[in-house]
Amino acid sequence: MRRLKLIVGVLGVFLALDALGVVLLALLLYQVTPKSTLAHETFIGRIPGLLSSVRVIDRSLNIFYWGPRPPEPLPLYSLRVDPKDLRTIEESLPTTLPSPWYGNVFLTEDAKVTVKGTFTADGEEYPVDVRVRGDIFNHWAYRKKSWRITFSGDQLFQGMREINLIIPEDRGWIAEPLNVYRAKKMGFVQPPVSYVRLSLNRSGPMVYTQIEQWGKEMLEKQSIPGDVNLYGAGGGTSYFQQWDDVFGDVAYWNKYQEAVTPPQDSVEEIELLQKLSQVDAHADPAYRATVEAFFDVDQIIDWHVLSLLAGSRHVRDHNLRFFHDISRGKLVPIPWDISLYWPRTLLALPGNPFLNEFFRVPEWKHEAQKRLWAYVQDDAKIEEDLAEAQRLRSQVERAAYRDSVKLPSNRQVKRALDEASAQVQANIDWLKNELSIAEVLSHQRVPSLAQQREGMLLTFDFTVRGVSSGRFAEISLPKPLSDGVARSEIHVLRDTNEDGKPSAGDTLIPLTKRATPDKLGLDVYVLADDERSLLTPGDPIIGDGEEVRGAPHTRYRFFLMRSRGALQIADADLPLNLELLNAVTGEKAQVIGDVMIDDRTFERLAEAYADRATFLRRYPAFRAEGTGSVLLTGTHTFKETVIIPSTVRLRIAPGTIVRMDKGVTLLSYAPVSVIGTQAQPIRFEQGSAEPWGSFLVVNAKEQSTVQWAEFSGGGETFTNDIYATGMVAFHGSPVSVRDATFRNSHGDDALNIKYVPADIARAHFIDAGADALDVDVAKTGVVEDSTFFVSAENTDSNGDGLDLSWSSIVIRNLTIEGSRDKCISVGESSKPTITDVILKRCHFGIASKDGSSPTVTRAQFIGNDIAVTAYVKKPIFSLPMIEIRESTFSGNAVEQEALSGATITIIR
Amino acid sequence: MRRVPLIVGILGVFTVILGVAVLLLGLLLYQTTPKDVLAQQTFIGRMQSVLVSVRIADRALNIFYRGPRPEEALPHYNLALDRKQLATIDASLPIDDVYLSDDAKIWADGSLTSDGETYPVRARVRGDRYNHWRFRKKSWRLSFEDDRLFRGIKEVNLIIPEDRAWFVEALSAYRADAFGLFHPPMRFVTASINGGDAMLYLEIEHWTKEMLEKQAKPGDVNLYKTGSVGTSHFNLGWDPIEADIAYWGKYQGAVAPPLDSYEEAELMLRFAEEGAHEDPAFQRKIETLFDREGLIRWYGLSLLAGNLHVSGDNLRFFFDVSRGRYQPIVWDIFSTMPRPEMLDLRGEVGGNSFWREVFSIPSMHADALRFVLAYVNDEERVEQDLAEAERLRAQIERAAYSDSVKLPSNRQVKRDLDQRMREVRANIDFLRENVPALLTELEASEPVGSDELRASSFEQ
Repeated sequence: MRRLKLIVGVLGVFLALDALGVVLLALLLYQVTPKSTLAHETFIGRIPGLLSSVRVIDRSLNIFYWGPRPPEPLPLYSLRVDPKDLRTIEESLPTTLPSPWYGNVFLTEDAKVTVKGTFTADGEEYPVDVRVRGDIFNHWAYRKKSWRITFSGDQLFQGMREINLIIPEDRGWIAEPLNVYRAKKMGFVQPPVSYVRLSLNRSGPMVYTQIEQWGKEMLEKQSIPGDVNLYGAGGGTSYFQQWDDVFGDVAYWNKYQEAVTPPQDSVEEIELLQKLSQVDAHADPAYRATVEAFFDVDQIIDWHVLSLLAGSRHVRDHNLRFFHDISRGKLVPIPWDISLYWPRTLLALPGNPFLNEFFRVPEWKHEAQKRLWAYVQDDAKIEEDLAEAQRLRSQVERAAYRDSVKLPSNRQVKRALDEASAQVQANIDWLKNELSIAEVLSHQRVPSLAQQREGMLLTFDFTVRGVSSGRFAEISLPKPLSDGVARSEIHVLRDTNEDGKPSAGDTLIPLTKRATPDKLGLDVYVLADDERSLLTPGDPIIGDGEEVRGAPHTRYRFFLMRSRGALQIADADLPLNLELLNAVTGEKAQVIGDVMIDDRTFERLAEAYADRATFLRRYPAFRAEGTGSVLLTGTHTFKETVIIPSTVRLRIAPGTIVRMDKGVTLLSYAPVSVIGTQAQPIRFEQGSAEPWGSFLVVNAKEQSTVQWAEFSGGGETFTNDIYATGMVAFHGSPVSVRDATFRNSHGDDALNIKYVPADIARAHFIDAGADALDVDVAKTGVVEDSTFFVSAENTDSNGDGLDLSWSSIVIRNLTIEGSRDKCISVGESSKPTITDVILKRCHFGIASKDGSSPTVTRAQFIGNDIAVTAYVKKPIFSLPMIEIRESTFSGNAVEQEALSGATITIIR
Repeated sequence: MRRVPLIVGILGVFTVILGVAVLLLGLLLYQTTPKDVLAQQTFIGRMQSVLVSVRIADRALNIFYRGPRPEEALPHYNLALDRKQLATIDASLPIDDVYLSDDAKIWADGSLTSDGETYPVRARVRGDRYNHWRFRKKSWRLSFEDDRLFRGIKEVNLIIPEDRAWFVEALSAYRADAFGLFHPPMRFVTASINGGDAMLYLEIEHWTKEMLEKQAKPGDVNLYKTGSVGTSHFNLGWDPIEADIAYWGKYQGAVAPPLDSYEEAELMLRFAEEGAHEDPAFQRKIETLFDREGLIRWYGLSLLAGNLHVSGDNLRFFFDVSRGRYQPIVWDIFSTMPRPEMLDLRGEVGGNSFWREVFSIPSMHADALRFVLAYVNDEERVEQDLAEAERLRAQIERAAYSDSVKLPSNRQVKRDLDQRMREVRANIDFLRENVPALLTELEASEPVGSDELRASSFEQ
């Protein structure tokens, strides 16, 4: 018995755990599954009484909701309709989708059954026609319905022919009345809106939002001509879509009221609206003029501002209302059903094709932003709006809680009212933040030399993202340019025609000198504050369902130009200081990126891969030889840099003399053959008093040859983004050097080879300005039988005889004398083998540095300051060492000096 | 009386069946519901104790994982960092953000001791995404003093190895060496902070002039930086570097050009624009400004690892002014199982827009495929690769299991390691099977043979 009790007890515990597991699983399922799915696609929605039970429980809490006393009681109407007629209406209401293309059960024309009734208000009775109204089922599928009441006969009700009593939750409770309040402040025509109560066949009072129906009387009561075309859009016309595609075909539009003046009941006004709504219509040169003629542009802008204050893009096709004001010839929008939403990005499209196109005009978009900013910055206006929202809520809240017929529970009503109130404030706060964002990425482009010769000084490219437009407000100019502005030689142009270059279609922007200079004391010029300096973000990236997927990158270009004279901007003055502002708030824009781009760098890149014919046209000094080669012969002076493409092999004939002007370089992307003879060497020499650049071969796969050639007076070069420190340089291009002389170099090296094996014999280096021979990253090779000499009188020279880095080569039979630094410098992990060298009168005979380990045999160290040294120059490398065998030392001030823990081994 | 036990028995069976049904339903729900939905939209995410308990239960099995003894011990660093500054770092880290903001990049002072030597050091967390710094074990950037470099290194990154697919990044570096491609030096180390347990890291030298010069590259070059996050209000994640050059930065600037300018990066962007390859001069420009073989091998390297990750913020290159050429840098190749679309240059995945344009040149694409095919059909090469993968795994496995600070459990680590090994093999097999057909298709449509093209230029 006891055991049985124990078993039952254990079972009970497990059952309880099971039950807990089931409850938690159910809760989990409820939390992860969309409610509509649960209600419509599962058995949950089909359990009779389950959903209604939930509703009953919710509504049982209604008594706890009271609401504040309204400032004044709401009007109470009574409507009596024969119950039989009400049943007729009920039976006519749709219960299924009119077609598979529809998303909602829809009130089609045949369901708009009108019955007779008696309407009583303020003690007066009115005969009326009554029907349900509202396209979507929420208006009429439940006990409480939205009604259209038409006052038949001559008796109008408060001057109204027809009124709509709309369930207030469909109009966001306070949302629509608040939008109407704002719209009226902006001068828009609005159908009168108010809260009322209605008792239908003695029911309890139901609260409604009353809106006068569209009609002549509604317009005339607001001092608008009544006999005008009053257009509306809606839905349910076509089997194939719920909402009428009013921008697809004008025949979908309705008229609530017709004009009497035009000869026909026609819709050409709407047709023009449709044309102006086509995608890219704004790009048509006549677009703006047409819009300005047919619309009050300020009104359209305010219409959009109104929507944005409510976070709304609900101005969809079916919510459009216009009338054509025949007295002004303008199509006038009537803001309608804007609703109220949580804030969303201002980058989102306005909501209908007409406005989408309209606000692709930068100035109009900018104007809307400015007005929005002014509105949200106006504390008085905001206070008024918030007070009105509060007043509206207090007007309707108690009546809503006491409306026992309505569908939502009081809990749901309160939540909706709280949400609406929060949304009003949230949108204002959001707009202040959004409009404060004006992101810009800035480029300053140095023009190519060719562009500079045509007067271009600098190009500015600004990429704007939004939200607000930016403004190119100010530019600081160094004195020469500032003087140029004063002499009207310097201008700023906007690339209006967007062709990327200064041209006739561009716009001059006036510059005004600011009274105060900038922090660096430079003159500041203010650009004209109008559309010429405006930077408006373009179209955002829109995904499915008009969802904003990304902010744009919209580029604007400006040129700083010189119309005459020879002014240039010195590199030292770049970048120029610019001021970019948020055009809406006047504050600084957020410049999130700022770069310079130098178009000089790759200006001549195309020459690197040109064909031979193009090369020969440019450089007539050369002539074609064989297939793919060119020949240079005779005596030539080059006044500009010569670039030999990778498709062209250069041969220089014996006896050729090449004179190179100041800074001129010969750059070849193909192998070269520079082979003279002892009697007729090839010479490269200065063509002016200033050093020339380099003789440079880069990235040429096949072997080049330099033999019986003399180079003097060259320096270094930076061409096509290649930097060569050698008067003669072979970068990544194997070369054989024989019987060549290198004299009076002015750059870092007389001869520099990189990334290729060393193959140098019988080379002679005389009075190099810095290093004579520089060998970098040569894994193999030989340097032999060569001489290096710096004369005692040469006080400018300051380099090494032979400088190695990352090179493990054979060095033999060299004589190096007079180098002001090292005869031989071995650095960066080099492991050369050095034999039979004479190292004389250098500051250092041999230096081993930075992870290097040369071995030296039969060297003569004569008259050096320090014969052998080893040290770490760059701490990123390990300790160097050097081993010297069978060598002699005479007249050296110091024989050896090991620093930083390096090792010198001399084996006598 | 006899009936009572029978009823109890039936009830018991029913209870057990019900219990099993609840567990199975729970498992089904767990398997079909996205984990982030479970964590963020249900009570599960609010019951931290539940999640913690699950983790504890998983980690309770850690002791059963040992791993093979490595060939040699990993270098070990003892980091002593200022505790108050560490606390400041912790406090500054974003709680909810996915990305690391600039104001959370705070340095802490300290020292690093290794091989009996002590070096002054500054340390901060590194890594854009939260996996690097939200949990106990973080990725670090260490910076050494100019006159007291650590192994010749100025700055180094200690990266949680799971972020680099454990050993696969090191395998890619091994392959990069074989291909003659440039990459920052890397190795596995362990580190302990303020006397804590040893943590396994992948150490990678940071982007500095010294890093370049130690590898016989010119140091004074423009070394470009992509991969910043949140520069724009509109892009909370990685900057849209293909939209504007002003999103780019530089780790290192060249001295030769007259200005600190970005035309090299801009030109690179232009090469990556849709349709750039249609420019008649495109191929000539590419072959002037890049080493053709290097481009092919770089792409091939990515294919060998599933071709997922070399894009956008993972693009690294410098412009070598001594050659007048771009030098791509192998970086963060990662690893994934092969997907059919990984060979599709036009697809959503499959590399980056620069490769899309470059390898739209049929001869380049064909040569790239030939290179990859030759590699995967070379049995000896493949064996060496697999052996290296095994060796790298063996190097780190035991240290990974012993790392008590890491986030994943040992069960998860082993699963990951096994998965990465499968990926290494699977990518080789996939390329063997699928590249020939693609190559045949290309060769049938190729207008000029690649050898002919090369012969027309003397460039390297």
